[in-house]
Amino acid sequence: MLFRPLVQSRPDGTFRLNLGAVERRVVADTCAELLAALAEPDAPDLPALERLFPSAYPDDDAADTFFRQMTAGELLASRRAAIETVERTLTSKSITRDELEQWMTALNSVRLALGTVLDVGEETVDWAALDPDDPATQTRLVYELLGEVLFHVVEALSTTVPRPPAAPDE
Amino acid sequence: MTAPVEVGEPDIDEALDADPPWIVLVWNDPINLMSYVTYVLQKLFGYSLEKAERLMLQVHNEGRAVVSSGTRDKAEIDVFRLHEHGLWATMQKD
Repeated sequence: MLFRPLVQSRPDGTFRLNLGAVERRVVADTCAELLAALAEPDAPDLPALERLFPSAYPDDDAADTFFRQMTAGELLASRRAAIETVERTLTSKSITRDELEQWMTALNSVRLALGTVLDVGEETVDWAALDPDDPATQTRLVYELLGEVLFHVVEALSTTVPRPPAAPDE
Repeated sequence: MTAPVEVGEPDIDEALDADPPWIVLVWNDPINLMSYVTYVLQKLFGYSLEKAERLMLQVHNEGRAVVSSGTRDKAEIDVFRLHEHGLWATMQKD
């Protein structure tokens, strides 16, 4: 079979993960790295993590500082919880929708950190222009692979969106 | 049961046009996948696929889009949830 769906939805509402050994290893290693970075006391100020702690009020320093004080702890806790869910379910054959959504946000967090370090742009990566011996090329490969896994996770969730219970809250 | 006048819940589209006090913006970035942004907007705001895709494309093509609006408290909650999902969201007075 040429096309291997990495995430399959099941009739009972759960999902099956078909990750291979390489994908699992890359997910595990990058999640562990991000978890370690998030454990740093100055995590919200680390340049690599700036996209994980964005500004709500870019033109109002006082409001921005207050908003960060109010939300940084919860933001940090939810990021760590998502990564811990991935680590806990890494070898599970079947996971719940909630767990798959945690996979989605955790993989996205990892990509935000790696993409910031790599300073990726809108353009498609030009592999011919990269040096195979440059460590950044290895990081780029990891970033692209995680993008592939995330794409499949989003695809599985998007094609099984539950009907909203009511009109959007206002 | 008598329905009071002018207390009806506006739908989101009306609210966006009704000059509300605070708006929540999502900005374009080169990292988040387009399908991811679409799914997050559906999940967080209960938007239809069509509406979420329209907003995502507006972010992608125009650099930003207003994704929600309302009181300052509501806007802060929306921004926080968007940040939780890694979207580059800000808020401002409309």
